[in-house]
Amino acid sequence: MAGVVSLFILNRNGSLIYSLETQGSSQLSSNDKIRLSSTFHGDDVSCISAIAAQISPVKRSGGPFSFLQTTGIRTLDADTFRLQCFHTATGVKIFCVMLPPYVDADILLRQVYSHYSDYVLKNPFYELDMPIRCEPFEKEVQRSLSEFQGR
Amino acid sequence: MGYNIGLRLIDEFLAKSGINACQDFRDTCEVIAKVGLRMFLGISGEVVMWNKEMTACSLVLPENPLAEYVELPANLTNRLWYSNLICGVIRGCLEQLQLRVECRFEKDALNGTLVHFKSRI
Repeated sequence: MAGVVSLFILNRNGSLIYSLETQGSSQLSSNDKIRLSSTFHGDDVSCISAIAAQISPVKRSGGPFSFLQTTGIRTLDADTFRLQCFHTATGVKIFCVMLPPYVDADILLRQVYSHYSDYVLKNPFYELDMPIRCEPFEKEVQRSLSEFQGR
Repeated sequence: MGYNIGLRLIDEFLAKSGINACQDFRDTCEVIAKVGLRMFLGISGEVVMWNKEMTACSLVLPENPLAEYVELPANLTNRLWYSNLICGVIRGCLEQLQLRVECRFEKDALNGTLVHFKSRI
């Protein structure tokens, strides 16, 4: 069945701050999730996104602010799954894994970013770059996810 | 205070406005003045007085909603920058985008003249 299997959010330093799994087909342990998602992240030299940015044949348009243009992996298509990532200018990465038939999850990822800015950042008890434990956020993400799946 | 607000505000600004990265500091100031201020304060600022190297500019706010019903007592006039929060917000937001700026008030309507603050990269 098509659909988004899991959703992850990484902070600027590459640590996992939020993860969500829907069908739970292959449950990764939380340590595994942290390790694997940090591998995907990119500001360090040893990680996939950074490597992707360096080997990309597309030349970055110049100008003093070119460091803000999001490089790194946007979509990774494989035979059995697709991984789509939304990089923000502040360094937060939101990515989701989905099964075929593939759809463009850009809308979902942007919505999750918008929920992040509304429910997580406005929570006065939330510390920046810490794991997200905000109930309204989780509810809204579930709702967006089910709306997206239902389309 | 403004700095902490700015740290969190930038993500909301990016999420809601969907603006792509700016090409240079000039663009950044324009976006702050026209999109950012309008989104959060409902006013549209103007960017004036660029210096020669294009690293400093002034933002003029036609009106300041934070100070709408405010009157400073005599002992604080010319000593308190009431809306300094806005400077902190801008500094916080830009710092999340890896840009260190200095932002301060030059003139404030509460002290008797138009609101005018200076932003320097």
